[in-house]
Amino acid sequence: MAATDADSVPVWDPLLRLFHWILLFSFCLAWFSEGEVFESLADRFDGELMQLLHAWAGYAIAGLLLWRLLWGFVGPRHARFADFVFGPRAVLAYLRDVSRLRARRYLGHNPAGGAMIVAMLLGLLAIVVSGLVLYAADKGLGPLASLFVDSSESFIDGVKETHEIATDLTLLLIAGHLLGVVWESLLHRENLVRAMITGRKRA
Amino acid sequence: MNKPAAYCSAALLIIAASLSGSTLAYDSKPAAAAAAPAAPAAAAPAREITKEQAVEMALKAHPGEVTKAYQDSKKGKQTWEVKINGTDGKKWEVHYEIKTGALVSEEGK
Repeated sequence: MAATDADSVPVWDPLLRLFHWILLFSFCLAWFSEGEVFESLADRFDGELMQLLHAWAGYAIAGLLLWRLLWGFVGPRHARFADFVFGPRAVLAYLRDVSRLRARRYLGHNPAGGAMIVAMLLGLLAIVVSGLVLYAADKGLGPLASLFVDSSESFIDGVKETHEIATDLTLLLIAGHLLGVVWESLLHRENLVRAMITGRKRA
Repeated sequence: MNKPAAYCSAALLIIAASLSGSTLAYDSKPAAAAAAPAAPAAAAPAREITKEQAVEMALKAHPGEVTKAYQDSKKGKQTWEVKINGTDGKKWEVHYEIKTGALVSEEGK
């Protein structure tokens, strides 16, 4: 049943929700424009446009990551790292409870969810940094161009590999994140996707 | 969320956006280091080539089906990139410098 204003409380602030959905959009855009899975589909579009979209999506994600880092310290309660970063022992204990279908409900991120947020942010950071270096070394473009323009072919291949592996790992993390959202939604009988849209959860 | 925090973060979002905007300016111009005049390759014609010419040259080197041809950059040089599904079973990516027609890179995998 839908939570009404009377029995629900604000959990996710408006900027955090905006961050979440713009990040998802940017990631999808970046993935589609250069991802190998979509190659034959993306080949139907202009190649220059695809590269431009990819770079823009990457810059957007870089900006979003910087903002999220800041928001983790100055944002509202449930946006702060202090609210959802737990030690490994707490994360494992929570996962054990989850597997036994009796995990405690957290209003903000639970320990496993919080660990996943940190892992995804680190994954995205690795993608963005390797992407910027690749853009500079391979094409001689972007803010790092003058630093990496004389790179060797083997260096470029290594950076490309790093960019791809970081992306594949992050995709795995995103799959885990989605699994966690579905699992928790069923376990505590609440729609966590809607909570990330409205920002409200059952009190 | 309190109001000052909201204003503060809105301002930060704008700053972040404008920062990313300024980095984009780099995209249109190749790095200065690579702009140094390269010695003209003896075999390559030292004149500007069209996309069609680039496709023709690429197909001569690597026969197959052209899947894509567009303007790109390689090591700070403006190039025509031609992608070919080669008859040799490889996927080729060939770059010719637009200004000179010189082969900048070719990669088959």
